[in-house]
Amino acid sequence: MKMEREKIYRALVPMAALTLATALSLAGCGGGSNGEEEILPGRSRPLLEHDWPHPRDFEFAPSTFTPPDAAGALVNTTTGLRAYIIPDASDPLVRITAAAPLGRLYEQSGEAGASRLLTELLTRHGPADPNRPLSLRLESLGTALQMEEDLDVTRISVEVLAEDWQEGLAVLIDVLRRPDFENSVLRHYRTGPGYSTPTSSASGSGFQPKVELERILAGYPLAPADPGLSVTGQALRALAGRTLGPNRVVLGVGGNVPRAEVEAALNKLSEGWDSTEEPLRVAELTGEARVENKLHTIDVPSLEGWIATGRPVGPVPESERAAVAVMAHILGTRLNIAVREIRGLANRAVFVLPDTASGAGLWHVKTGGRTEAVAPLVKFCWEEIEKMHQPSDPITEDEIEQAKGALVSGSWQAALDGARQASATYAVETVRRGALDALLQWPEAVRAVTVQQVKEVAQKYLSAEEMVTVVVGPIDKIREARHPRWPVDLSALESTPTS
Amino acid sequence: MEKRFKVATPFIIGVLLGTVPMWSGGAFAESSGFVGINVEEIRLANGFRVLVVEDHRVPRVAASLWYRLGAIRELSGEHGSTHFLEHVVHQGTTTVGTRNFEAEKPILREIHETEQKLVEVWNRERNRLRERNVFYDGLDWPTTPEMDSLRQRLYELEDQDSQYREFWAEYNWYRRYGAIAHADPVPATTWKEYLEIDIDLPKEAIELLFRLEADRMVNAVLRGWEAQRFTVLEQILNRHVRPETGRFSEAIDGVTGLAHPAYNSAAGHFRDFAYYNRASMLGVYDDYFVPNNATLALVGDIAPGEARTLAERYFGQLARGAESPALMDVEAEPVPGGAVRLDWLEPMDPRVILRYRVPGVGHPERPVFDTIAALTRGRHGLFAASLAGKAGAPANVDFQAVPTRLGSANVIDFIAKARRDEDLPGLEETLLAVVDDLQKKRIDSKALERARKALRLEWDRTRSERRRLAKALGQFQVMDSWETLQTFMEARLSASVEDIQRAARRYFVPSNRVIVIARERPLSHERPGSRATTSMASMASMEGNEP
Repeated sequence: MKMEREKIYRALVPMAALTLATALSLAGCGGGSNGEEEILPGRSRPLLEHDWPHPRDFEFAPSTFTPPDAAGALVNTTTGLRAYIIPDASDPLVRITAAAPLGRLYEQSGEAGASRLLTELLTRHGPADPNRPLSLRLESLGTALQMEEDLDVTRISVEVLAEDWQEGLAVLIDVLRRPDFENSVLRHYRTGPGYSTPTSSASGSGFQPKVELERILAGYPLAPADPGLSVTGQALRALAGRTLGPNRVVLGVGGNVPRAEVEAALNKLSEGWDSTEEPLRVAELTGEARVENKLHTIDVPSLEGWIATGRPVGPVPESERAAVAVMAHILGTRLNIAVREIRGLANRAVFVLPDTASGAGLWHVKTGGRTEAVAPLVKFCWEEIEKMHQPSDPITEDEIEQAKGALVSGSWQAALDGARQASATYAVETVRRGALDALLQWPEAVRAVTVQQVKEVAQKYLSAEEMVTVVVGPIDKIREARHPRWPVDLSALESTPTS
Repeated sequence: MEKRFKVATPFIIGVLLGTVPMWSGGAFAESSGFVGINVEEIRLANGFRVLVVEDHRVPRVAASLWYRLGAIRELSGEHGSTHFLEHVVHQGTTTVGTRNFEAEKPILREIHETEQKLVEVWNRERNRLRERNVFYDGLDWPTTPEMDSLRQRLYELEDQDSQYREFWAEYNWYRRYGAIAHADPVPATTWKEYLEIDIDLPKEAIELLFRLEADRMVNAVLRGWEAQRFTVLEQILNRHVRPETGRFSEAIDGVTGLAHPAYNSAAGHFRDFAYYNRASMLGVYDDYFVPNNATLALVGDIAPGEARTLAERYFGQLARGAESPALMDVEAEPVPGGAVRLDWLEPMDPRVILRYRVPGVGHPERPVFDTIAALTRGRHGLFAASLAGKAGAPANVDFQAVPTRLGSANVIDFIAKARRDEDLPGLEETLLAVVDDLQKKRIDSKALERARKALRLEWDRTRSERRRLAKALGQFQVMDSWETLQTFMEARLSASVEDIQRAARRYFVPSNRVIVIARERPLSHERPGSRATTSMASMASMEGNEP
């Protein structure tokens, strides 16, 4: 009898446990606090209860990142050509970068479009040498040229195997020294629209709404040259003469190279390369804008709705740059949370500061979305900008610290990450700003930024009233469309007055 | 043989010791020839795999976490759901991204129940909701008033939940501690076979990655679902504006393989976005986000011992899952009847594409297709060389050759982009003639030398840049094995003319071929939508090109 009772008891206990477990799982969210495994609705796996520190509770040691020694890397050749040589014997590659003061801001009267054409001639056609065309020299090295053009600096770079550094260096210097101005391309060249066609995303500099915004607000040289212009050989030679001399170009050589030999090679390769004494004049971007309407539309039926909202800003004092960068980071985060995370209106909203020596240029937001999302996107972007502009806006310490971490330990370190990258960054910065002080002191400047400073620059520069918006897309459809959750009429936004 | 032995011996010793040391060779010490890398593999008891390559040049660590799931496992009606899952697992966990998880629980329960009702209505109304139209019209998702009401309730519930959310929590913590990540707040990529998360952090903060990603693996809360639905849809719409990534490439994939998921769009189809539901995605999450289906590759200033300690502390606490379903990891059926020609009838920059199906990574013949691609493309590759000097040959043709890299069905595309439609027939002949040359060993030795150099440079770039190397290790693990990586790279570098010929004879045959033609002025008598035509014409005249 006793054994039978025991058996029943033993059977009942697991059944009770099973019943309890079933009840708990059916409840969906039960049990965790009692030590039972908790399973969220829809899940089959239990949550993991843990005692891991929350990210805010981590106290990591300060970063030990140190950029390569810039002063020690700089060499000056007998011809005036400067180079940052940063050897790294463990790197199988070498990157060679040439930074030149080439860009729209260096074009003078009659030279509109010349810098773009010059860069194209340098990198696609190379020196006139039918026996050794540039393309074959590059393919023999297994490589290709990379080119990036900003308003006030152009960089051309090539990466080669370590054993090919001499030929890589020779190719790049050859490209700069012997541009082919007789090329038939010159005769047929006409300036393009200034943006990529079709505009498929909000990334990249060739973003049509941004270019149109530049044209509306200030025109050339903030905006690209008008489309359809030709460029004379004379203009091209004049620009090249001013910008491509050895005393104007700065090189970066990083990777597995022997420094002394590179220096010797530079001296040899630049022999006979004449410096230029002609002054380099940089066009000034004042920040003045022609603002008549706050919102402009351009009908391109084949696109989605793409948006740029911004204003031109003149030179930014050095003392404000770090606070501006922190402010921009915070605004970018807020914009994305407002339009993407909360409302699903866009894949991304990007707030862009100009990358120029003076800090002048177009400050703008780039975004875009479906036809019914366009008007609410415009509206919510304006709201976030204006919110940050208000003195009462609560910029939090958390926001500031996130921005600082991203700017210093993130993007600043990325710009100086390793010999190849650092040598290129030093070259570009030297051409752009004449020295590396601001770059190397950037972490200190950013870490010193306060909430108050961010508020001050936000009040000074950010005002939705002063921002102008360009919408490019199927305008009729955009006007008709209404978002089911945030119905905003584009026409109502168009009638919003400017400041 | 000798090389194999040298690799095998340390391998065996390593197995006995519990770790598997890599190929020796010194980290990046030699500048000539093909050098190995040192990879330490750590396996936890729950199957989690960590691969560590030490690189102390910069005090940072690149971390690349790979899950073995992707578009290839998606069934009809849920294309793009893995990519969507990638987004929604980045919306916080039970401890990160929330101000009060206890307060969220009843809302999450109601969201689940409401969605279950929505699915029930959907199923009940399946005959009424059947889509009978021919022409797709925007986001014209089928619905009923009851479904609209339930969807509205879901929006309200998510708005309620928002008050407890810290948006972008994980991304902001990463950035705060100095991550170099994607520009996108979801620092991840989903493709046919993988979902990959990559973060580069200062070495001092690497523990953050272990803390956040282990939590994400088991405690993700799929918040903000409805907003993410539209965000992800927006990404797809962006892709579809560009023909190369949109309908054109989908059409080519569609005729390449008979309804095999390897050829389905990882981005998804617009229609399917209406059908996604949380419950089904949570099922995928529970099946695949398990430690025994994940590989973490770490390259940078971190020692294997430290990586093991952190892995055990965080990922080691996760229970091993059941083995994730293999599903459609099968060979694709070829299209019956052999060669296929696709004439694209919407205006596009003129081009000819010659496509062949080739084996997946892990197959011994796959590496040689990288060699063939490097050999044929470019301004001085075999395609361009075959035109050089010929009277009347078109100028400024852009020759490309692109092999895909998947563990299953791969293709190689030979592409000739022309300036004029009139050049296309000749270019098609050129491409086929070069294929014939490959089959008959008519291969210029200098071109092969250049190709090998390009391949060496590409591999050296990969192995010397920590993010690239971390990604490469992880990708090879999901395709085959991380140990395949170096042998793959060696094989493509050492591929001989005979190897090339053998591969060309076997795979570059008409029955395995797709030819695609796209024209600026398509062959149809009716011009397609005038807007596209106009914009193409405008582009041609405004780009400053030669007439």
